[in-house]
Amino acid sequence: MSSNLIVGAAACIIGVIYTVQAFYLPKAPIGDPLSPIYFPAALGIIMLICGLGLLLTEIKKGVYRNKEKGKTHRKNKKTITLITLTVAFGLIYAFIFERFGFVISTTLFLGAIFFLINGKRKWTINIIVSLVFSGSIWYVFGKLLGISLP
Amino acid sequence: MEDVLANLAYGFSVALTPTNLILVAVGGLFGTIMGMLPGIGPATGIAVLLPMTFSMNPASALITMCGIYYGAMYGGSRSSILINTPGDGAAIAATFDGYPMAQKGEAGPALAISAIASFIGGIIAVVVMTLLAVPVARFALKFGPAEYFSLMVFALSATAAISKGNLIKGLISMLLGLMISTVGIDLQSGVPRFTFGVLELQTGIDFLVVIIGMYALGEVFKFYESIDVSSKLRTTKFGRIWVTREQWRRCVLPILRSAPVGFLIGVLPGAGGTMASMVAYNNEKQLAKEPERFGKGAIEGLAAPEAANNAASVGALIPMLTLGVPGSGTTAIMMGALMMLGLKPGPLLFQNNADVAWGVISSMYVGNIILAIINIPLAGLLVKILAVPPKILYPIILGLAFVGTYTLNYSIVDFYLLLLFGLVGYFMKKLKIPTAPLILAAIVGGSMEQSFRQALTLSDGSLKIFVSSTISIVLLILAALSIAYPFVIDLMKKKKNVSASE
Amino acid sequence: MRFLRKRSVGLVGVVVLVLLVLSLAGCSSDNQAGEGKKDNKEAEYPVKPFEFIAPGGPGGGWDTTIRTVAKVLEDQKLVSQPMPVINKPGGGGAVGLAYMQEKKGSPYHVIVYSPPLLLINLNGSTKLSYKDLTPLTRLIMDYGIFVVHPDSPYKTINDVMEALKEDPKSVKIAGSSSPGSMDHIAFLKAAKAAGVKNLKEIEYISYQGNEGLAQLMGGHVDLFSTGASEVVGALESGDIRALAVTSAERIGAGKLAEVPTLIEQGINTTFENWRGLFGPPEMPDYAVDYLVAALIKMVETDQWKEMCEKNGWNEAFLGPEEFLKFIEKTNEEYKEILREIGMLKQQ
Repeated sequence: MSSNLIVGAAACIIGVIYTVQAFYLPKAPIGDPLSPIYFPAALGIIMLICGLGLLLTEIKKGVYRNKEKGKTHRKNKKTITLITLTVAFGLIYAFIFERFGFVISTTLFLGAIFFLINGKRKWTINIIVSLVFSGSIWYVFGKLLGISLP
Repeated sequence: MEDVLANLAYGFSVALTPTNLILVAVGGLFGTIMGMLPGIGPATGIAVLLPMTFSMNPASALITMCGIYYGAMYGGSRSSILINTPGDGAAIAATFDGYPMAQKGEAGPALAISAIASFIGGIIAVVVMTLLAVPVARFALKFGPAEYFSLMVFALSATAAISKGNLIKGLISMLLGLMISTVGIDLQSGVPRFTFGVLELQTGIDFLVVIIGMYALGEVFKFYESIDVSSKLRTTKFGRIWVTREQWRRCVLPILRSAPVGFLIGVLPGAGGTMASMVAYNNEKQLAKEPERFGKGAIEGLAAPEAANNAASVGALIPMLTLGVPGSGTTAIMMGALMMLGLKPGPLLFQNNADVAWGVISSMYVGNIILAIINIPLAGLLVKILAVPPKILYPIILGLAFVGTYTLNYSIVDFYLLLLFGLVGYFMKKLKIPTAPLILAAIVGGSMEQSFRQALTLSDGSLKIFVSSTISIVLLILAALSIAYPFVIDLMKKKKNVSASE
Repeated sequence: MRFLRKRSVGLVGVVVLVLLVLSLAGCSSDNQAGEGKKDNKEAEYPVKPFEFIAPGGPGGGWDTTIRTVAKVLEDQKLVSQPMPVINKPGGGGAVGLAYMQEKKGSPYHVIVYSPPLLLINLNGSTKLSYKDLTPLTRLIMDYGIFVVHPDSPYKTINDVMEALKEDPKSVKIAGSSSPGSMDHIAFLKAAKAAGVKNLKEIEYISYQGNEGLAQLMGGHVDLFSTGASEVVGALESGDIRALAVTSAERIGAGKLAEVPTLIEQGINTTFENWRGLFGPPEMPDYAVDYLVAALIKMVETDQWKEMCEKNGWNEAFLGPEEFLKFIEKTNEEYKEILREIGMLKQQ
């Protein structure tokens, strides 16, 4: 599937969902009650039109491109795994950030990322860099700049 | 004129005292460092350093704050160029051509030209400010809601139009940005929109989270694709730091054109550096003889927004100093600080506190020179960042992105948004959707809608208000032209080709 | 080039040194331990650092207020433990309010609030209200002011009210916050007292930050409702003209002191933008007593008075009981106005 088709389809879906949501927005208590709704509704509808436009031009061109398989596919798979793991670590990080405090959670998070992309073999560097980073950021922000980190 | 010179001389006698010289230098360096960190822009920089200025006299305090302010402007684009991660909104345009330059091994010249362009832009703006501060501020007052709306339409359409390859994709990107800007409490009616009951979303999505997510995280995700090969691909030779004569020749006119544009946009309360640098970039791209070089490391594509951005940051001080109306978040904090120091910003500042007003203007000359001196050698140090193995560098960028995001609102909700926009940014790059229209729309979208509705309230619902002032008409025409221009050029080229082949 | 680089390294060194010295100076205030060792925790209180909370971002009104309080309490050695300030912005203060609920019963948390504490509850932004906090003291007040362009046809506030009585849409009112919040309520309260009937139909345009002031100077709107301390500069220079302040008696110095109150002009009402401190719900009595005692001493110090003057704050101290009564009374007043314009959504 060509990238334009995906974009077109995605734009249509977003357009529809957003427009529907827009009509459920609360009404304004003073002035025109619909005033908070016009702009979002217009955005959603234009988005839908753009998506449809893109889809139609692509379909007119015909979907003939079916290339790039195999090698790139495997590479893609690895990228997607890495991204998924990073996002997962990020979510865990967000969850523990205020519970464990900045230094511990950041060291854990960075450590995890380092092991993910720098490999297990270089574990000394991984641990040292994560510790030094969290420690120094905490010191600079918390102590020198007075920005309080948990 | 003589008055101005006499005042300026008096100002220099204030600005050139050893204490104030050291303060502007320290402030500038500090600001540069703050500006380089994602999420920490001039506003946070000044806010956190505010307590230190309490013990100073008003002139020194303001001079220090201005130092931090420009420093952050200089610093913001360092990380744009080196790691494709803008420090704040105004530095986004620096990624367009600055990062490709760094990838080509021209990081040195890129950093140098950005410092030079910032310097020239800053100095031009300060000269205009010295001569015309008050009339310029009066002009800015002519901008009512209708004019603001037209200005934002112009900036957005120009940005969407440069993604000429596929206008529809540019539009989709812009619409996404506008959708992001509708999240939060609607200013005109007070009702919450798209907040899904999350309190933190009531103040809206901070556009800096969008920027950090899409650029910093997006960049890390993109790096994953080449994780096995990238260490070999990176240039480790940086070549010279200075620019060549040829590069300089390309940049002179763009810098000179962009500085006044940036300055004027900066003067308008609420418009700011992001819009200034985007408009300057779009101008240069449309004026260029070979627009296809833009986005692939054209040095003038970096010089123009940098000059505009710095000129805008000077311009933004004018409404605060002369009218007592802060034009941006940063100047609002500065104004708060001035009032705590017992000063009343406004036209009388120049009469009652001449030492402060003129001292500050003079320190802008001095500050810009000092920052250029700091930043050019700093470039030599900074390019070394690129020598850090990417497998170490990228996790650190990730860490900085999270810390920077946290300092924006001290809220974990922003972490989730950051991850979300990281993914959005990555997929947009994969699907070849331009990201700049989204970001600009996310920044100006809110005030665009509000201005539109403010204007309609003022006119009792009549759309005529948008064509009832010259300023507004001119801006709307410019907007239409900027959309039409690429098509006209295409058409002309086709005609040429047809006639040539006959 | 190399020479320059060396110099820049030297410069970095100097900066780091300066910063170290500054930070050391900042930390050197002595942390005396609690006096005497008694075995119950009430007597030893406070034994650990406080947490002072600003429910808005750095640099805003709440933030400056609580940072000033913390600084004066520390400088004057009125509280024996450090008082770091943290920011919990969001939801117009509702995020900070939710945060305080997590600290229920804690003797170590203090937050600052002003009228939005009441308004975010009345307009339905949050179910929590002032009842979910322990009032400590009211500290300061700012007042509303109504300003117009120097060439405006409206010479007194009554001219404006007369015009509104004839056609509620004829005067475009601007403010710096969304409808149903302070600037809007301040004006409506005056309009109501002046006998304007259709409050709901009065057109109100909200601007971000202080942009409204520029819009007024540019002649785009007719009247701007804002805080008195925000417009002192423009008032002194004659770029704007003030019709009325919402205080009971005249305030400030210079041109500001020449502005008549609403009451002087026959409109019998006031509007106060108060700021005060609160503890979490069910804060123990010994903590309330300790903090209130320290704050009573604080407002008497020269340093506090000086800070108030610099910031344009009017001192308005009230102890816990009077403060609570004051809040209850204003809450009813706001409620009535919001009901009248259909914005009351209290849950």
